[in-house]
Amino acid sequence: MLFVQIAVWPKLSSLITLRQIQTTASKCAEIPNPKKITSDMIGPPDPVSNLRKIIFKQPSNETQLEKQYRKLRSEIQNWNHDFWTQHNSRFFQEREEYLKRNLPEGKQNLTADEMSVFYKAFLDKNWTSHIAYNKEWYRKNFTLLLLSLQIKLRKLLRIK
Amino acid sequence: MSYIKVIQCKLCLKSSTAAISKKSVLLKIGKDTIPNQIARISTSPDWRNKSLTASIKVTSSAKKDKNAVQDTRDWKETPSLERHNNVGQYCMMLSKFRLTSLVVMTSMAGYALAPAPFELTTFAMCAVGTGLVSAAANSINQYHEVPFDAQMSRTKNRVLVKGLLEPTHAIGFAAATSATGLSLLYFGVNPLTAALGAGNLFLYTSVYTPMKRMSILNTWLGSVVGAIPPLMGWAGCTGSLDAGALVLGALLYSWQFPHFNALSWNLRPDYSRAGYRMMAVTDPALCRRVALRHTGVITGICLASTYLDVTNMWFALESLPLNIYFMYLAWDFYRKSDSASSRRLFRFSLLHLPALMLLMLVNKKYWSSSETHDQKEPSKTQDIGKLSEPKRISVLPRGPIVTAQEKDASPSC
Repeated sequence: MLFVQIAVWPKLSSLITLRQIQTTASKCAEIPNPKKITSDMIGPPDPVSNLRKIIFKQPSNETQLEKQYRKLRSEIQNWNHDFWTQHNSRFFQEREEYLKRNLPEGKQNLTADEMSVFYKAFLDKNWTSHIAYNKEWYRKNFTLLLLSLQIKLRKLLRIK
Repeated sequence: MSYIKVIQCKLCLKSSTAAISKKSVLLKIGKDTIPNQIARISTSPDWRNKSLTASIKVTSSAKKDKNAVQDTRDWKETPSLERHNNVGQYCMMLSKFRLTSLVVMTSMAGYALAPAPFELTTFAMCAVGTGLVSAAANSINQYHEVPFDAQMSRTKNRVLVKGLLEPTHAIGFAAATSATGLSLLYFGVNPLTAALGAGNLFLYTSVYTPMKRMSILNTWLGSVVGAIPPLMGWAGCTGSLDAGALVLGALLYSWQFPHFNALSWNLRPDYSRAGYRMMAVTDPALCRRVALRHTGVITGICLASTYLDVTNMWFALESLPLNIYFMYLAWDFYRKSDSASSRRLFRFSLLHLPALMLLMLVNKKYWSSSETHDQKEPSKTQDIGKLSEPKRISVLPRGPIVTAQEKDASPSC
């Protein structure tokens, strides 16, 4: 399956329409109301950032720590989403430009070898941004883990 | 059953397309005989994804029979409300079951090939311990990689990406498995094996995982990670590492290159976008060269293993056709560099390793429980091995015996 996909990557324009279709579709499917749900809800993958959005439950008896955790999760989720949306759109846009520049008349696709030049260039160009993102993500992810463990531990002790 | 599988494998090689690979997926579901298990073991994410979705389908259809509802909603609870019913399946997904099986298999081969006496309990503890540590490593890896995994079709169906479990579950699972695994290795096998396991756990989760996005060197480091489990098996048996252990380690190290380079070849667009600095993307020519080079190294190691007293002469002969075909496929990949040749190389690598390890076992030089060994070391084994001392102590002094054996054996070669 993967191998076929190389040839049929959706172009940016079609991707955007796809996104519009999906967002309208998911609006039809109703985004859950954070005040009504009893557990967090996860949606389908975003067509550009590829991340699945989570709607965090917001119960009325939320503790201070839980509130802090929810806010931070939501913040980090948006941060992740922004990074990958920008990054992936840049990828498709630059890929399109590369194709335009290098595609000979009457051909639809470049060979995998010809495309690999672009893949390498794109990877090299984004090296620093990836490293910075990676570091920041590890830090944020660890903070989330500590908070969530703290909440779990408190819940456990209170029950006992 | 085993015959059916062998025929299937041959078909796979000859016509090498999706139609037949689907057949083997079909076979994989729900059959658990040992030959099938072996044939199924792969680090192939492609296989993994397919079979996982297949198994999900199976369970969901089973659920459908019971409840007559299927979850087709856009928004689902996270973590999944079904998680208590699917604990086993989710744990398998966290531990990357197929990859862990391969790791356990190489570690078992390492144990079985080592020249010290074979002890079933130590062997079992070594295998289970290695498996648990590997499961922990894969679980921690998934905790770190959620947004990256979401980017690639190869990995986008992992448990944490889909929100079936929470990161705390993954970390909890990793803490439990690594603690049990490492204590099994430390108290049940020996400290050296436990140290290798702990070192590899650290190397994989804290060095290799971030390095994938930093440097092209990640593949070499990943190969070291792959080469340590057979050393753990060997150390678990003999209590030390020697030239013989290096044969298996080097074999595993070299095997990773044709295997992984061929796999990554067709994933270049995904790797480029997700920021993975894989050799296939950053230096495609080197990627093909290294794959070819290491199939040559594997051939060399197999020939040399006779001289290092791990296997007999027959192994050198019997492994030759396997290795020559492996080299041919790598050469083909090197020359054509298209997706068909890389896929052929990747598929064959999955058969090549189990076949090679099987041949090594069949042609092992010293069978520890065999007469030759007992005749050689009758007094020493009685002295140390079988006294009713605690296990750890009975295992530890094996090092000197092995070195003594090596000395005994060395003049003959």
